[in-house]
Amino acid sequence: MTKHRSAIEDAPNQKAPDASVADAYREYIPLLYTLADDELVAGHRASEWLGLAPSVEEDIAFASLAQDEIGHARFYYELLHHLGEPTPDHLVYRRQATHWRNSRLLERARGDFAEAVVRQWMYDTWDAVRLEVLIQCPFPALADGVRKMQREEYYHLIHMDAWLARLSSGGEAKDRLVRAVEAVFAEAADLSVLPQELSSSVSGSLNWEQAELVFHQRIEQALHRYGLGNARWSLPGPSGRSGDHSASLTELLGTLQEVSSTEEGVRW
Amino acid sequence: MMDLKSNRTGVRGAHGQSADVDSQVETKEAEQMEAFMRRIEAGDKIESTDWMPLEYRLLLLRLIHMHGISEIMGAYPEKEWVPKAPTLARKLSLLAKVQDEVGHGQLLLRVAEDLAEPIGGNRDSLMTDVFTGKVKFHNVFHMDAPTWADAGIIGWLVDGAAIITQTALLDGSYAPYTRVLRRVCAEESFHMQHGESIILTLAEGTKTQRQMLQDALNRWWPSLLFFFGPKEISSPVEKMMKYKIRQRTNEELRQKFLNRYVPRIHAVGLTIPDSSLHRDADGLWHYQEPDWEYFSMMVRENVGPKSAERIHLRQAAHEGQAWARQVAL
Amino acid sequence: MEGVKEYGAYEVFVQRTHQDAHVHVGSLLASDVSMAILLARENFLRRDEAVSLWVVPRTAVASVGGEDVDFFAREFDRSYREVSGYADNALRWKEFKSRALSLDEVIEDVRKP
Repeated sequence: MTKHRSAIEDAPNQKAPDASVADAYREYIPLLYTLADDELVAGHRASEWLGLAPSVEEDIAFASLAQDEIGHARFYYELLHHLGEPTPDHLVYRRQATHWRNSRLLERARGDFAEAVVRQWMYDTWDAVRLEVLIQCPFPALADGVRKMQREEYYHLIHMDAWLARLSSGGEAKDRLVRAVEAVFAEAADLSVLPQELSSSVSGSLNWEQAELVFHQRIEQALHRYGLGNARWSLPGPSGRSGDHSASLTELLGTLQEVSSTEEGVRW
Repeated sequence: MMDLKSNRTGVRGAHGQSADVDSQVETKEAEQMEAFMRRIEAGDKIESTDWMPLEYRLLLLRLIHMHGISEIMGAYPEKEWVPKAPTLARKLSLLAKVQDEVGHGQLLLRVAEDLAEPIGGNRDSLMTDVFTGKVKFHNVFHMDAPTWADAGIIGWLVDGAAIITQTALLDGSYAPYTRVLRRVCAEESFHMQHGESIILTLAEGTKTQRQMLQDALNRWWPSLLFFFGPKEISSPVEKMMKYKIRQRTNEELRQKFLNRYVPRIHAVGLTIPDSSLHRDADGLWHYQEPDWEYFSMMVRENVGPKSAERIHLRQAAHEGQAWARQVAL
Repeated sequence: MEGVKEYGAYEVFVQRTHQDAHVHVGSLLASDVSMAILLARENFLRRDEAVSLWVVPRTAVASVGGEDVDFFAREFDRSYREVSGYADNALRWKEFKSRALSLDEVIEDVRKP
């Protein structure tokens, strides 16, 4: 009997892990956690805008952005599972805050729409640079996924760019935008930080310093373009990349895991 | 700009007439009305730019405005469950589903906006009508959805009921509405699967999960029956039937819902909270009537368990963020 | 409000494949034409595939139709320009122990390597 693939099954996209292949890429695990958790947490926060965006049309567009991010997270979690880590649902629904490796910027409580735009723009800009680096990596499954993601992220960037252009034109929108830039810079320090657990062979192959430089350049150029002043890169502080999170992540996970934790080990 | 119509039929050239042609205008309107009813009876489809009697315009506007706003208000009870959806796949599918509902709201509001434009309405006024209570929305979206099973029941049965009322409007006389309904119904077929998938998993699940599902059904049953509207044929319904906007009564649609869903509800092992529910020899369902007054009042006065909270969310989105729409250019 | 541009209505057209024409799918409200394009993608192409998208300000659309039905009137026989007007050919070919050719056959034949 053919088993019908269901959209609700855990990890439907990939075959069972092949131990020998998996071993060769286990070094990427710490990096994959940062990628997966970034996307999941960003998608979760973006999804909170459902029904709350400034226009009905924007509501719909923003919800797609949230879906894309969560879809990308799912890809990374599946890859992790492929490398021998627990299932995607286990990783999302059973881990406590200290085990998450997302940037602190992405866990911040929702804020106003100007902040949603700036946060998403800052993150998407970094993500685009990061993907440009990762597409070169010698881990084929990762590079393939990155190629697909790059295509989807293109829309996010032009969408956020259009909002930045619009909001920066003046009035209350500009005031809010300036405040949002302030708030986002205050939490953006760990965005480009690599996880401590990452082996030197992987981190050495990634040319992260160059990526960070490009990231800063792109942000600074845009700030200039929209009349938003100079960049205010904050000094490294507590980093989400080492599991040092704000209370916002605990709150987020409390909500995210509320239903699934009522009865463990059952199907939902 | 080319405007061929004004020369031939005078539809768009109606302004600028002087007072001494009043009687001619009246005769003309009577003629237009007659011609319009001939079109309706011949099964013609009406477009937004065609001449239409004010009564027809207002009936449609009331119907489509309420439909569109209901889709948008309907996002809130389910939206609450997107952050809490218990698996990644459920999170994605619920997010997509709620997004579709907002999308249906968008499509329907555009149709309503075109109807409202000649009488001074627009997106802003149609949305503001929610906060001032001028437009109503379906009773089901005033209700509390306190558990994950409620998200399942909404997807399965509330959407199921909505599909029935919407497909009944597919052949209506107003073409822009039927075009949008066609798209809406196509997307609803995904929503049906989404809802069924949630409730099937709960029905296959543990005792606690099944109990959660049963409790949710108990909560939603009277609302679902009310959703189709009163049994008696009200004067707006009668007029809508005259204009072929709709061709089935509330009770006919409720019967179709019961036909379709009662056996399925029983099949998954749930008990419908109505011991008097039965089908007679003629195939007609008899049921304990919902509290008509309670639900009518809820819709009329926005006094349901969640009415105020959800209207407030809509207001925060629309008015609270006017700054983002009104950027100086 | 002063100095504020109202959101305008944009008509949206989608081309599904390069061999299809653009088809009108609906309309939306947006602040300007570039935002209209961005929003149109998610408002109308959440599932369907497309290769091209047009948005057109509603004010730029001129139209005829609706109740002006005479504009489209074709009252007299024009079967001379339809395939159906030549249904007798098939019978007549039969007399010659042959059969009428259809366009589909020609296309199929030409496409054959």
